[in-house]
Amino acid sequence: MSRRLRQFLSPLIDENPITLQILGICSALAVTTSMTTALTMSAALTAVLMASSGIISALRRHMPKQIRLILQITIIASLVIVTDLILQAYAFEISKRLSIFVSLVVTNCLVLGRAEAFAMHNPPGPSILDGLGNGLGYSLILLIVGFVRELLGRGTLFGFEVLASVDTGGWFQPLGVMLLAPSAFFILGLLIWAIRAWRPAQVEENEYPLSARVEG
Amino acid sequence: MIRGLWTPDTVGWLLVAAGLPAAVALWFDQGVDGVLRLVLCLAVVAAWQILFRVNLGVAPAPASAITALAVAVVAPIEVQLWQIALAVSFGAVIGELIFGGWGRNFLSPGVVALAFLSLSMPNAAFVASGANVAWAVLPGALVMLLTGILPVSVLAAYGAALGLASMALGLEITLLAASGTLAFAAVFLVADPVAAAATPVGRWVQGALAGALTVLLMTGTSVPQAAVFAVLLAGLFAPLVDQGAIAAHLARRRARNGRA
Repeated sequence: MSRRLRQFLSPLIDENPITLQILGICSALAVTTSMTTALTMSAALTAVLMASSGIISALRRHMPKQIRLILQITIIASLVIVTDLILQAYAFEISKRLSIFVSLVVTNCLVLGRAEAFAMHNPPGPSILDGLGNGLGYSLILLIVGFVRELLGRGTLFGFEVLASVDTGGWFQPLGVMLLAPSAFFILGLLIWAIRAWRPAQVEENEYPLSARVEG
Repeated sequence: MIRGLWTPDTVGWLLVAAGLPAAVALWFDQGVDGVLRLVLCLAVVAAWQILFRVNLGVAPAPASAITALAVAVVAPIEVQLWQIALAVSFGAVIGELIFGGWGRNFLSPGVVALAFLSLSMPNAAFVASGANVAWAVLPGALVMLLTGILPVSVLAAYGAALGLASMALGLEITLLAASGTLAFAAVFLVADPVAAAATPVGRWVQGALAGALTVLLMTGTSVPQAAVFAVLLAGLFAPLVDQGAIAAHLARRRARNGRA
Protein backbone atom coordinates (compact mmCIF):
# COMPACT_ATOMS: atom_id res chain seq x y z
CA MET A 1 0.00 0.00 0.00
CA SER A 2 1.38 3.38 -0.90
CA ARG A 3 2.02 5.94 1.83
CA ARG A 4 -0.68 8.25 0.51
CA LEU A 5 -3.31 5.53 0.49
CA ARG A 6 -2.38 4.46 4.01
CA GLN A 7 -2.59 8.07 5.15
CA PHE A 8 -6.09 8.25 3.73
CA LEU A 9 -7.33 4.86 4.96
CA SER A 10 -5.89 4.77 8.47
CA PRO A 11 -8.31 7.35 9.95
CA LEU A 12 -11.24 5.15 8.93
CA ILE A 13 -10.67 2.44 11.56
CA ASP A 14 -7.09 2.25 12.80
CA GLU A 15 -6.80 5.88 13.80
CA ASN A 16 -10.44 6.82 13.80
CA PRO A 17 -10.84 10.28 15.33
CA ILE A 18 -13.90 9.30 17.35
CA THR A 19 -13.25 5.76 18.48
CA LEU A 20 -9.49 5.97 19.00
CA GLN A 21 -8.81 9.60 19.82
CA ILE A 22 -12.30 10.18 21.33
CA LEU A 23 -12.52 13.58 19.63
CA GLY A 24 -15.71 15.29 18.53
CA ILE A 25 -18.07 13.02 20.48
CA CYS A 26 -20.20 15.96 21.61
CA SER A 27 -21.64 16.48 18.15
CA ALA A 28 -21.58 12.73 17.56
CA LEU A 29 -24.21 12.23 20.20
CA ALA A 30 -26.22 15.37 19.49
CA VAL A 31 -26.98 14.89 15.80
CA THR A 32 -27.36 11.11 15.55
CA THR A 33 -31.03 10.75 16.41
CA SER A 34 -31.70 10.38 12.69
CA MET A 35 -29.70 9.37 9.64
CA THR A 36 -30.58 12.57 7.75
CA THR A 37 -29.07 14.88 10.35
CA ALA A 38 -26.09 12.56 10.85
CA LEU A 39 -25.36 12.52 7.12
CA THR A 40 -25.72 16.30 6.78
CA MET A 41 -23.47 16.89 9.75
CA SER A 42 -20.92 14.42 8.36
CA ALA A 43 -20.91 16.17 5.00
CA ALA A 44 -20.58 19.61 6.62
CA LEU A 45 -17.72 18.52 8.84
CA THR A 46 -15.87 16.71 6.06
CA ALA A 47 -16.14 19.75 3.79
CA VAL A 48 -14.92 22.13 6.50
CA LEU A 49 -12.11 19.78 7.49
CA MET A 50 -10.83 19.34 3.92
CA ALA A 51 -10.98 23.06 3.13
CA SER A 52 -9.43 24.17 6.41
CA SER A 53 -6.63 21.57 6.14
CA GLY A 54 -5.84 22.74 2.61
CA ILE A 55 -5.85 26.46 3.44
CA ILE A 56 -3.93 26.13 6.69
CA SER A 57 -1.37 23.88 5.03
CA ALA A 58 -0.85 26.38 2.22
CA LEU A 59 -0.33 29.16 4.77
CA ARG A 60 1.78 27.10 7.16
CA ARG A 61 5.06 28.85 6.36
CA HIS A 62 3.56 32.33 6.66
CA MET A 63 1.90 31.93 10.04
CA PRO A 64 3.87 33.33 12.97
CA LYS A 65 4.08 30.53 15.52
CA GLN A 66 2.77 32.69 18.40
CA ILE A 67 -0.58 33.50 16.81
CA ARG A 68 -1.12 30.37 14.74
CA LEU A 69 -4.09 29.16 16.83
CA ILE A 70 -5.94 32.44 16.34
CA LEU A 71 -5.36 32.29 12.61
CA GLN A 72 -6.44 28.64 12.41
CA ILE A 73 -9.64 29.35 14.34
CA THR A 74 -10.38 32.36 12.14
CA ILE A 75 -10.02 30.28 8.98
CA ILE A 76 -12.11 27.44 10.39
CA ALA A 77 -14.80 29.83 11.66
CA SER A 78 -15.09 31.52 8.26
CA LEU A 79 -15.52 28.16 6.56
CA VAL A 80 -18.11 27.06 9.11
CA ILE A 81 -20.11 30.24 8.60
CA VAL A 82 -20.10 29.66 4.85
CA THR A 83 -21.19 26.03 5.33
CA ASP A 84 -23.94 27.08 7.71
CA LEU A 85 -25.22 29.70 5.26
CA ILE A 86 -25.19 27.20 2.37
CA LEU A 87 -27.22 24.79 4.49
CA GLN A 88 -29.69 27.52 5.44
CA ALA A 89 -30.05 28.50 1.78
CA TYR A 90 -30.51 25.06 0.23
CA ALA A 91 -31.63 22.78 3.07
CA PHE A 92 -33.45 24.99 5.52
CA GLU A 93 -35.45 22.21 7.20
CA ILE A 94 -32.39 20.13 7.98
CA SER A 95 -30.44 23.19 9.01
CA LYS A 96 -33.17 23.96 11.54
CA ARG A 97 -33.00 20.43 12.93
CA LEU A 98 -29.23 20.63 13.27
CA SER A 99 -29.74 23.96 15.06
CA ILE A 100 -26.53 25.12 16.63
CA PHE A 101 -24.41 22.08 15.92
CA VAL A 102 -23.17 23.13 12.51
CA SER A 103 -21.90 26.42 13.92
CA LEU A 104 -20.28 24.45 16.73
CA VAL A 105 -18.06 22.68 14.22
CA VAL A 106 -15.70 25.60 14.97
CA THR A 107 -15.06 24.18 18.40
CA ASN A 108 -14.90 20.58 17.23
CA CYS A 109 -11.53 19.36 18.52
CA LEU A 110 -11.22 17.21 15.44
CA VAL A 111 -10.84 20.16 13.03
CA LEU A 112 -8.30 22.07 15.10
CA GLY A 113 -6.57 18.81 16.02
CA ARG A 114 -5.93 17.90 12.37
CA ALA A 115 -4.80 21.45 11.59
CA GLU A 116 -2.27 21.41 14.41
CA ALA A 117 -1.13 17.81 14.03
CA PHE A 118 -1.04 17.42 10.26
CA ALA A 119 -1.73 20.48 8.13
CA MET A 120 0.92 22.60 9.87
CA HIS A 121 3.65 20.13 8.90
CA ASN A 122 2.60 18.85 5.48
CA PRO A 123 1.96 20.22 1.99
CA PRO A 124 -1.62 20.98 0.89
CA GLY A 125 -2.20 17.78 -1.16
CA PRO A 126 -1.63 15.28 1.64
CA SER A 127 -3.35 17.65 4.11
CA ILE A 128 -6.56 17.67 2.08
CA LEU A 129 -6.35 13.88 1.82
CA ASP A 130 -5.84 13.67 5.57
CA GLY A 131 -8.86 15.94 6.08
CA LEU A 132 -10.96 13.75 3.81
CA GLY A 133 -9.84 10.57 5.57
CA ASN A 134 -10.60 11.95 9.01
CA GLY A 135 -13.88 13.43 7.85
CA LEU A 136 -14.92 10.05 6.47
CA GLY A 137 -13.80 8.29 9.66
CA TYR A 138 -15.99 10.70 11.64
CA SER A 139 -18.86 10.19 9.17
CA LEU A 140 -18.58 6.41 9.39
CA ILE A 141 -19.08 6.41 13.16
CA LEU A 142 -21.84 9.05 12.99
CA LEU A 143 -23.74 7.02 10.41
CA ILE A 144 -23.40 3.76 12.35
CA VAL A 145 -24.65 5.39 15.57
CA GLY A 146 -27.40 7.21 13.64
CA PHE A 147 -28.46 3.96 11.95
CA VAL A 148 -28.90 2.13 15.24
CA ARG A 149 -30.62 5.06 16.97
CA GLU A 150 -33.09 5.88 14.22
CA LEU A 151 -33.90 2.25 13.44
CA LEU A 152 -34.56 1.23 17.05
CA GLY A 153 -35.85 4.60 18.27
CA ARG A 154 -38.35 5.29 15.47
CA GLY A 155 -38.34 2.25 13.20
CA THR A 156 -37.38 4.46 10.26
CA LEU A 157 -34.25 5.16 8.18
CA PHE A 158 -33.82 8.57 6.51
CA GLY A 159 -37.43 9.16 7.55
CA PHE A 160 -38.78 6.16 5.61
CA GLU A 161 -40.55 3.48 7.60
CA VAL A 162 -38.52 0.27 7.76
CA LEU A 163 -40.14 -1.46 10.73
CA ALA A 164 -43.90 -0.91 10.85
CA SER A 165 -44.57 0.67 14.25
CA VAL A 166 -47.48 -0.12 16.54
CA ASP A 167 -48.98 3.32 15.95
CA THR A 168 -49.48 2.58 12.25
CA GLY A 169 -50.76 -0.95 12.82
CA GLY A 170 -47.44 -2.79 12.69
CA TRP A 171 -45.66 -4.88 15.30
CA PHE A 172 -42.69 -2.69 16.19
CA GLN A 173 -42.67 -0.84 19.52
CA PRO A 174 -40.08 1.98 19.24
CA LEU A 175 -37.41 2.04 21.94
CA GLY A 176 -37.66 5.57 23.31
CA VAL A 177 -34.34 5.35 25.11
CA MET A 178 -32.55 5.37 21.74
CA LEU A 179 -33.63 8.96 21.14
CA LEU A 180 -32.11 10.14 24.41
CA ALA A 181 -28.51 11.28 24.63
CA PRO A 182 -27.24 8.42 26.88
CA SER A 183 -27.96 5.84 24.19
CA ALA A 184 -25.41 7.50 21.89
CA PHE A 185 -22.80 7.04 24.59
CA PHE A 186 -23.74 3.40 25.04
CA ILE A 187 -23.63 2.68 21.32
CA LEU A 188 -20.33 4.54 20.97
CA GLY A 189 -18.93 2.62 23.93
CA LEU A 190 -20.03 -0.73 22.53
CA LEU A 191 -18.58 0.25 19.14
CA ILE A 192 -15.22 1.16 20.70
CA TRP A 193 -15.29 -2.13 22.61
CA ALA A 194 -15.97 -4.08 19.40
CA ILE A 195 -13.22 -2.28 17.46
CA ARG A 196 -10.69 -2.83 20.23
CA ALA A 197 -11.61 -6.49 20.47
CA TRP A 198 -11.00 -6.74 16.73
CA ARG A 199 -7.82 -4.57 16.76
CA PRO A 200 -6.11 -5.24 20.11
CA ALA A 201 -3.36 -2.73 19.20
CA GLN A 202 -5.82 0.06 20.13
CA VAL A 203 -6.29 -1.20 23.69
CA GLU A 204 -4.80 1.23 26.19
CA GLU A 205 -2.58 0.16 29.04
CA ASN A 206 -4.53 -0.52 32.23
CA GLU A 207 -3.77 2.43 34.51
CA TYR A 208 -5.43 0.94 37.56
CA PRO A 209 -4.90 -2.83 37.62
CA LEU A 210 -6.76 -4.71 40.32
CA SER A 211 -4.53 -6.18 42.99
CA ALA A 212 -4.63 -9.95 43.39
CA ARG A 213 -7.95 -11.10 44.78
CA VAL A 214 -7.83 -12.14 48.42
CA GLU A 215 -9.69 -15.41 48.88
CA GLY A 216 -11.62 -15.61 52.17
CA MET B 1 -18.78 -15.63 60.57
CA ILE B 2 -17.64 -18.98 59.19
CA ARG B 3 -15.42 -17.75 56.40
CA GLY B 4 -15.07 -21.09 54.59
CA LEU B 5 -18.81 -21.34 54.06
CA TRP B 6 -19.57 -17.74 53.12
CA THR B 7 -18.24 -17.49 49.62
CA PRO B 8 -19.87 -15.13 47.11
CA ASP B 9 -21.61 -18.17 45.64
CA THR B 10 -23.28 -19.04 48.97
CA VAL B 11 -24.63 -15.51 49.19
CA GLY B 12 -25.74 -15.73 45.57
CA TRP B 13 -27.60 -19.01 46.05
CA LEU B 14 -29.29 -17.67 49.19
CA LEU B 15 -30.45 -14.63 47.20
CA VAL B 16 -31.85 -16.92 44.52
CA ALA B 17 -33.60 -19.06 47.14
CA ALA B 18 -35.09 -15.92 48.67
CA GLY B 19 -36.37 -14.93 45.24
CA LEU B 20 -38.14 -18.24 44.55
CA PRO B 21 -41.36 -17.40 46.44
CA ALA B 22 -41.58 -14.14 44.47
CA ALA B 23 -41.38 -16.18 41.26
CA VAL B 24 -44.30 -18.29 42.50
CA ALA B 25 -46.25 -15.13 43.34
CA LEU B 26 -45.55 -13.91 39.81
CA TRP B 27 -47.14 -17.12 38.46
CA PHE B 28 -50.06 -16.56 40.81
CA ASP B 29 -50.58 -12.93 39.74
CA GLN B 30 -49.87 -13.01 36.01
CA GLY B 31 -50.38 -16.66 35.09
CA VAL B 32 -48.41 -18.49 32.44
CA ASP B 33 -47.42 -15.23 30.72
CA GLY B 34 -45.48 -14.13 33.77
CA VAL B 35 -43.68 -17.47 34.00
CA LEU B 36 -42.81 -17.40 30.30
CA ARG B 37 -41.37 -13.93 30.73
CA LEU B 38 -39.28 -15.08 33.67
CA VAL B 39 -37.99 -18.07 31.69
CA LEU B 40 -37.05 -15.79 28.79
CA CYS B 41 -35.21 -13.40 31.13
CA LEU B 42 -33.39 -16.29 32.81
CA ALA B 43 -32.37 -17.71 29.42
CA VAL B 44 -30.99 -14.35 28.27
CA VAL B 45 -29.02 -13.84 31.49
CA ALA B 46 -27.65 -17.39 31.32
CA ALA B 47 -26.61 -16.94 27.69
CA TRP B 48 -24.61 -13.78 28.52
CA GLN B 49 -23.04 -15.45 31.55
CA ILE B 50 -21.88 -18.38 29.42
CA LEU B 51 -20.63 -16.10 26.64
CA PHE B 52 -18.58 -14.03 29.07
CA ARG B 53 -17.32 -17.17 30.84
CA VAL B 54 -16.10 -18.69 27.59
CA ASN B 55 -14.68 -15.56 25.93
CA LEU B 56 -13.43 -13.41 28.79
CA GLY B 57 -13.20 -15.78 31.75
CA VAL B 58 -15.73 -13.87 33.87
CA ALA B 59 -16.99 -16.15 36.64
CA PRO B 60 -20.73 -16.82 36.33
CA ALA B 61 -22.72 -15.88 39.43
CA PRO B 62 -25.99 -17.45 40.61
CA ALA B 63 -27.15 -14.03 41.89
CA SER B 64 -27.60 -12.91 38.28
CA ALA B 65 -30.90 -14.80 38.31
CA ILE B 66 -32.17 -11.90 40.45
CA THR B 67 -31.70 -9.59 37.43
CA ALA B 68 -34.10 -11.78 35.46
CA LEU B 69 -36.54 -11.99 38.36
CA ALA B 70 -36.53 -8.22 38.89
CA VAL B 71 -37.37 -7.51 35.25
CA ALA B 72 -40.07 -10.21 35.17
CA VAL B 73 -41.73 -8.92 38.35
CA VAL B 74 -41.56 -5.15 37.77
CA ALA B 75 -41.72 -4.66 33.96
CA PRO B 76 -45.09 -3.72 32.44
CA ILE B 77 -47.10 -6.50 30.82
CA GLU B 78 -47.54 -4.99 27.35
CA VAL B 79 -43.80 -4.71 26.65
CA GLN B 80 -42.78 -6.83 23.69
CA LEU B 81 -40.56 -9.81 24.39
CA TRP B 82 -37.64 -8.61 22.24
CA GLN B 83 -37.55 -5.40 24.24
CA ILE B 84 -37.47 -7.36 27.48
CA ALA B 85 -34.65 -9.47 26.10
CA LEU B 86 -32.78 -6.31 25.05
CA ALA B 87 -33.29 -4.68 28.44
CA VAL B 88 -32.13 -7.78 30.31
CA SER B 89 -29.08 -8.01 28.02
CA PHE B 90 -28.32 -4.36 28.70
CA GLY B 91 -28.61 -4.82 32.47
CA ALA B 92 -26.59 -8.04 32.53
CA VAL B 93 -23.79 -6.81 30.25
CA ILE B 94 -23.49 -3.05 30.93
CA GLY B 95 -24.66 -3.28 34.53
CA GLU B 96 -22.58 -6.25 35.61
CA LEU B 97 -20.48 -8.34 33.26
CA ILE B 98 -18.27 -5.64 31.73
CA PHE B 99 -17.00 -4.79 35.20
CA GLY B 100 -15.70 -8.33 35.57
CA GLY B 101 -18.70 -10.10 37.03
CA TRP B 102 -20.99 -9.98 40.04
CA GLY B 103 -19.35 -8.21 42.98
CA ARG B 104 -17.48 -5.65 40.90
CA ASN B 105 -20.50 -3.82 39.53
CA PHE B 106 -21.57 -0.61 41.25
CA LEU B 107 -25.29 -0.68 40.41
CA SER B 108 -27.72 -3.52 40.71
CA PRO B 109 -28.01 -4.97 37.15
CA GLY B 110 -31.76 -5.45 37.66
CA VAL B 111 -32.16 -1.73 38.26
CA VAL B 112 -30.11 -0.93 35.15
CA ALA B 113 -32.32 -3.19 33.02
CA LEU B 114 -35.51 -1.74 34.46
CA ALA B 115 -34.33 1.85 34.01
CA PHE B 116 -33.59 1.02 30.36
CA LEU B 117 -37.14 -0.32 29.92
CA SER B 118 -38.69 2.57 31.77
CA LEU B 119 -36.86 5.20 29.70
CA SER B 120 -37.75 3.31 26.54
CA MET B 121 -41.45 3.33 27.20
CA PRO B 122 -42.30 6.48 29.14
CA ASN B 123 -45.99 5.95 28.49
CA ALA B 124 -46.23 2.24 29.30
CA ALA B 125 -48.38 1.41 32.28
CA PHE B 126 -46.14 -0.15 34.89
CA VAL B 127 -48.49 -2.28 36.98
CA ALA B 128 -47.59 -2.35 40.64
CA SER B 129 -47.79 -5.75 42.33
CA GLY B 130 -49.83 -6.00 45.49
CA ALA B 131 -49.81 -8.00 48.69
CA ASN B 132 -49.12 -11.42 47.10
CA VAL B 133 -45.60 -10.46 46.11
CA ALA B 134 -45.05 -8.64 49.40
CA TRP B 135 -45.86 -11.80 51.39
CA ALA B 136 -43.72 -13.88 49.04
CA VAL B 137 -40.72 -11.63 49.59
CA LEU B 138 -41.06 -11.78 53.38
CA PRO B 139 -39.68 -15.28 54.22
CA GLY B 140 -36.57 -14.85 52.06
CA ALA B 141 -36.00 -11.41 53.55
CA LEU B 142 -36.20 -12.82 57.07
CA VAL B 143 -33.69 -15.58 56.32
CA MET B 144 -31.30 -13.08 54.73
CA LEU B 145 -31.70 -10.68 57.66
CA LEU B 146 -30.88 -13.48 60.13
CA THR B 147 -27.83 -14.56 58.13
CA GLY B 148 -26.67 -10.97 57.84
CA ILE B 149 -26.80 -10.74 54.05
CA LEU B 150 -29.40 -7.97 54.08
CA PRO B 151 -28.26 -4.86 55.92
CA VAL B 152 -31.00 -4.05 58.46
CA SER B 153 -30.17 -0.36 58.37
CA VAL B 154 -30.84 0.04 54.64
CA LEU B 155 -34.23 -1.65 54.92
CA ALA B 156 -35.20 0.27 58.04
CA ALA B 157 -34.17 3.60 56.56
CA TYR B 158 -35.97 2.83 53.28
CA GLY B 159 -39.17 1.84 55.10
CA ALA B 160 -39.08 4.81 57.44
CA ALA B 161 -38.43 7.28 54.63
CA LEU B 162 -41.25 5.77 52.55
CA GLY B 163 -43.65 6.02 55.49
CA LEU B 164 -42.73 9.52 56.58
CA ALA B 165 -42.56 11.03 53.10
CA SER B 166 -45.84 9.46 51.98
CA MET B 167 -47.59 10.71 55.11
CA ALA B 168 -46.22 14.19 54.51
CA LEU B 169 -47.56 14.16 50.94
CA GLY B 170 -50.72 12.15 51.68
CA LEU B 171 -49.87 9.24 49.38
CA GLU B 172 -50.27 6.32 51.81
CA ILE B 173 -52.99 4.62 49.77
CA THR B 174 -51.00 4.59 46.53
CA LEU B 175 -48.08 3.28 48.53
CA LEU B 176 -50.07 0.42 50.11
CA ALA B 177 -51.54 -0.64 46.78
CA ALA B 178 -47.97 -1.13 45.51
CA SER B 179 -46.70 -2.96 48.59
CA GLY B 180 -45.48 -5.92 46.51
CA THR B 181 -43.34 -3.84 44.18
CA LEU B 182 -41.91 -1.79 47.03
CA ALA B 183 -41.13 -4.83 49.19
CA PHE B 184 -39.43 -6.51 46.24
CA ALA B 185 -37.47 -3.35 45.43
CA ALA B 186 -36.44 -2.94 49.06
CA VAL B 187 -35.11 -6.47 49.48
CA PHE B 188 -33.61 -7.20 46.05
CA LEU B 189 -32.73 -3.79 44.60
CA VAL B 190 -32.16 -1.19 47.35
CA ALA B 191 -30.38 -3.59 49.71
CA ASP B 192 -28.48 -5.38 46.94
CA PRO B 193 -25.42 -6.80 48.76
CA VAL B 194 -23.07 -5.49 46.05
CA ALA B 195 -24.55 -2.11 45.17
CA ALA B 196 -25.76 -0.88 48.57
CA ALA B 197 -23.64 1.44 50.68
CA ALA B 198 -21.07 -0.33 52.82
CA THR B 199 -20.59 1.91 55.87
CA PRO B 200 -23.11 1.89 58.77
CA VAL B 201 -23.93 5.58 58.39
CA GLY B 202 -23.85 5.38 54.60
CA ARG B 203 -26.48 2.61 54.69
CA TRP B 204 -28.94 4.76 56.63
CA VAL B 205 -28.40 7.66 54.25
CA GLN B 206 -28.71 5.55 51.10
CA GLY B 207 -31.87 3.77 52.30
CA ALA B 208 -33.50 7.03 53.34
CA LEU B 209 -32.53 8.67 50.05
CA ALA B 210 -34.08 5.81 48.06
CA GLY B 211 -37.29 5.92 50.09
CA ALA B 212 -37.73 9.70 49.99
CA LEU B 213 -36.98 9.84 46.26
CA THR B 214 -39.47 7.05 45.58
CA VAL B 215 -42.30 9.03 47.17
CA LEU B 216 -41.18 12.27 45.54
CA LEU B 217 -41.10 10.69 42.05
CA MET B 218 -44.42 8.92 42.69
CA THR B 219 -46.14 12.29 42.40
CA GLY B 220 -45.24 12.37 38.71
CA THR B 221 -45.27 8.75 37.54
CA SER B 222 -46.33 5.20 38.42
CA VAL B 223 -44.97 3.61 41.59
CA PRO B 224 -42.74 0.96 39.91
CA GLN B 225 -41.10 3.56 37.68
CA ALA B 226 -40.61 5.88 40.64
CA ALA B 227 -39.10 3.03 42.67
CA VAL B 228 -36.71 2.08 39.84
CA PHE B 229 -35.40 5.62 39.36
CA ALA B 230 -35.16 6.25 43.09
CA VAL B 231 -33.08 3.11 43.55
CA LEU B 232 -30.94 4.02 40.53
CA LEU B 233 -30.20 7.50 41.88
CA ALA B 234 -29.61 6.30 45.44
CA GLY B 235 -27.30 3.58 44.09
CA LEU B 236 -25.32 6.13 42.10
CA PHE B 237 -24.85 8.18 45.25
CA ALA B 238 -23.97 5.19 47.47
CA PRO B 239 -20.17 5.34 46.85
CA LEU B 240 -20.15 9.10 47.47
CA VAL B 241 -22.17 8.66 50.66
CA ASP B 242 -19.70 6.00 51.81
CA GLN B 243 -16.79 8.28 51.05
CA GLY B 244 -18.41 11.04 53.11
CA ALA B 245 -19.12 8.66 55.99
CA ILE B 246 -15.51 7.47 56.04
CA ALA B 247 -14.18 11.04 55.88
CA ALA B 248 -16.45 12.08 58.76
CA HIS B 249 -15.32 9.07 60.78
CA LEU B 250 -11.66 9.89 60.19
CA ALA B 251 -12.22 13.53 61.11
CA ARG B 252 -13.87 12.47 64.39
CA ARG B 253 -11.00 10.13 65.19
CA ARG B 254 -8.47 12.83 64.44
CA ALA B 255 -10.28 15.27 66.70
CA ARG B 256 -10.37 12.70 69.49
CA ASN B 257 -6.89 11.22 69.17
CA GLY B 258 -4.94 14.15 67.82
CA ARG B 259 -2.81 14.02 64.69
CA ALA B 260 -1.81 10.40 64.61
